[in-house]
Amino acid sequence: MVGASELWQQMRYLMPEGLLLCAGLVILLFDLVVKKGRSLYPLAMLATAGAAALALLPLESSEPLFFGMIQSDAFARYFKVFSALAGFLVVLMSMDYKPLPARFVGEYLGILVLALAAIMLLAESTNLLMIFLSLEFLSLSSYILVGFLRNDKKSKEASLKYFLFGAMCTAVMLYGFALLYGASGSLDLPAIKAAFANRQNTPLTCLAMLFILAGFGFKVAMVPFHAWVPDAYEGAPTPITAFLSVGSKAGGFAVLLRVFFTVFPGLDYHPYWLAVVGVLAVFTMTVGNVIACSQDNLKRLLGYSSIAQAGYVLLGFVVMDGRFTQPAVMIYLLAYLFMNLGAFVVVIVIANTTGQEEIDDLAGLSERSPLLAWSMFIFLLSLAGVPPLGGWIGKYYIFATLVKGYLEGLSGGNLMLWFAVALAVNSVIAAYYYFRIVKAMFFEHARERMARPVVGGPLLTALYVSLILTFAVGLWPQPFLNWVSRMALPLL
Amino acid sequence: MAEYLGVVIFLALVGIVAGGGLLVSNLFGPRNPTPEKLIPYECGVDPVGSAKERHPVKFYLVAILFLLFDIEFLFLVILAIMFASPQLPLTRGLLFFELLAFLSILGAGFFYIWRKGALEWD
Amino acid sequence: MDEILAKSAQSSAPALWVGAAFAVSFGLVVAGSLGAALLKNLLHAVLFLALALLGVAGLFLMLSSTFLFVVQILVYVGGVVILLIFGVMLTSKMAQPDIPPRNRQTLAAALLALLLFCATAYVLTTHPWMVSAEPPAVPVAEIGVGLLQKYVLPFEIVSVVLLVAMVGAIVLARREPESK
Repeated sequence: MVGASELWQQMRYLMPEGLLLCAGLVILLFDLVVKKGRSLYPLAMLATAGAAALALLPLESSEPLFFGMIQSDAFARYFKVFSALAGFLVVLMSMDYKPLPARFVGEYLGILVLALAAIMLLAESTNLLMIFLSLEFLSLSSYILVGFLRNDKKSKEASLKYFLFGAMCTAVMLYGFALLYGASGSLDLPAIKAAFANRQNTPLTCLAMLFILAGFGFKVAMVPFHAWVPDAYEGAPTPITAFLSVGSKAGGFAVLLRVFFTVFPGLDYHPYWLAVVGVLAVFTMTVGNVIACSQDNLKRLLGYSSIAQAGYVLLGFVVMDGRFTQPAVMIYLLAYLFMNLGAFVVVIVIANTTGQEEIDDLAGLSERSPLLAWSMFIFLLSLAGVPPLGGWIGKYYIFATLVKGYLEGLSGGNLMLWFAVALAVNSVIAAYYYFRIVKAMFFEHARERMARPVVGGPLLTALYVSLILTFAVGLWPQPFLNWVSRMALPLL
Repeated sequence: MAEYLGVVIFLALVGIVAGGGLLVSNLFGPRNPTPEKLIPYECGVDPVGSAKERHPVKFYLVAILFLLFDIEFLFLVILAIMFASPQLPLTRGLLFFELLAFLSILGAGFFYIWRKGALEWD
Repeated sequence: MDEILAKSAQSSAPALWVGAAFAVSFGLVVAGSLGAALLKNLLHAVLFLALALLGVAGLFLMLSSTFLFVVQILVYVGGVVILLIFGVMLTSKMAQPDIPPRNRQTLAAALLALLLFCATAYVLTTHPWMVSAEPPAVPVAEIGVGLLQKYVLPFEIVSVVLLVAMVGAIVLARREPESK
């Protein structure tokens, strides 16, 4: 007999996502009854801010909860804070995003808030079924949000492509899960780890890992599962593009970290893992960066840039050493959250002014709106990894992780050095296209009749928050680093 | 497996009767086609065009909603069968709240599509 | 396949019957999938998919998962296939059956699929699986207990996912009322 009180006790750890789930339902229903779309924005902001606050409470449990489905540890709490924060900024960005159909604001916000809860559940799942369910929850919400501009053909196309790729990758991932289940007889990650503890690197685990990587790689936009990114990013409503590029990506990395750190450290798979993930990471950043150079649409360019950034983060996985990998990945994602969302805020303002999202629309931005131009400049510098901004700290830690792996003589250390070189070369390529944007903003003149961009309160708030935190992570990294290392998964 | 033998025989008989009827009438039946006999039968009215035309998206919406309710129904069937079994492994209060949460969320979904008018044809 | 045959050796049914039933289910899955992937007429492809799904139902039955067998037929053959048929019927290309299922990447895709198949087949045949003598027949009531106990969290989340799917269906597929 399981008592209600026991489960009730465990509910404490689910407060952030519980709040978001309830808020999502309330928003959906409130919209039906009251039919005042705009009034739902404060509600969504309150919910996301509240969830962030609840996630900051030091409520952690090292025990598995809900019969081993989830584990609400510090690591999960980090991604809860992350997701709620990203959600708050995305809601702010959505407020003044003009193309959003006013009739469907309730659905938009409701599904967005539920998707944030899905990211939280994904980050704390310790059971293959729960991982699959929360991943599908997140994907399903994302497909709907991407296709939200119903009268825009590109949005529909984006949604369809995203869905087709997602269905394919999820199917492959599920096959990997089935292999793991068949070989271990359990869906719980700790039990799977125990089952493989005495049987080393079998072909089956390698295959299962590859298949699972397909599903997670799709979420984080890893080559060769990246083909949906440019179209989905271009067609989706811009706040949703921003959400996909940070929220959904962070969810993918969270589950990747958890699965590969809790299931596979018992295996002697290191050289194999190093080669596969390292080569995929190098491909990911190279493909993203090289193709980004020839893009003229800002959202597509940022899409390819986000593929490249996923490549940088993946390099952190090559080392697969808990002391290095996790803090490096987590600090990178934190910096990426602010700089990338900030860049998308500028894109939204530009699109609201000119109705388009091309690089040409940025021409002469420094004359029309110095604030926007300089903010965008900062965000791009940070994305390019220029000190002393947040992106630099992230990239530095990834780089340092590789070098440390080499110096500590981890197996395949020489390869790590090559990966570090690839990272450096790619940063140079990336600088080229980021500076194309800078050139348009500062050295080209505005076309005639280009209106001065007007930044409303919500967008301005999002812009300032992103700006301040991009600087903060770069200038005072120590508190963030301490926090991140405290939140890492316990080492086994 | 052996208990399904009856089903297999039944299926085989269905196949034989259905297929055999078609085959036998095809082999031995008189054949005297006229243009009127060859047009598709639509209750005696002459067909007005090809049947292969686009259908409204409404059908699709109905099919999606059917599928979703189908899945919900399956969950409820499982639980109904469970309640019929004598020994329940959980306390009644807990069961009540679990089912209440499940059903009220689904009820919210039903309320949503109802208020949105998706259950009306026009 | 080995698993099913090994199981049949110990169960009461003669191996021949089980082999035949497996062959039929397997044949349905393979033929149906090939038809679904290769046929030019979309409607025919969907009908072949239904065959493949029926074959999967047969496999569930052979593994003593009677409930999944029913679910497979009720949801997939009876629901998903109907949905797909409606989907095909609302596309404008419905009247022109020539939609080539191949493009210029066919060869590369086929090679990759073959490679993946060989790798998977190698792994599946060489792995030392734990083979159970008899597939565990789980009574439906036990599934219910599982849903409310061990899997209570996923169970509740499923209801939210279904709700999101409903809302999404309305947002994406419902036509705007004309007069507004």
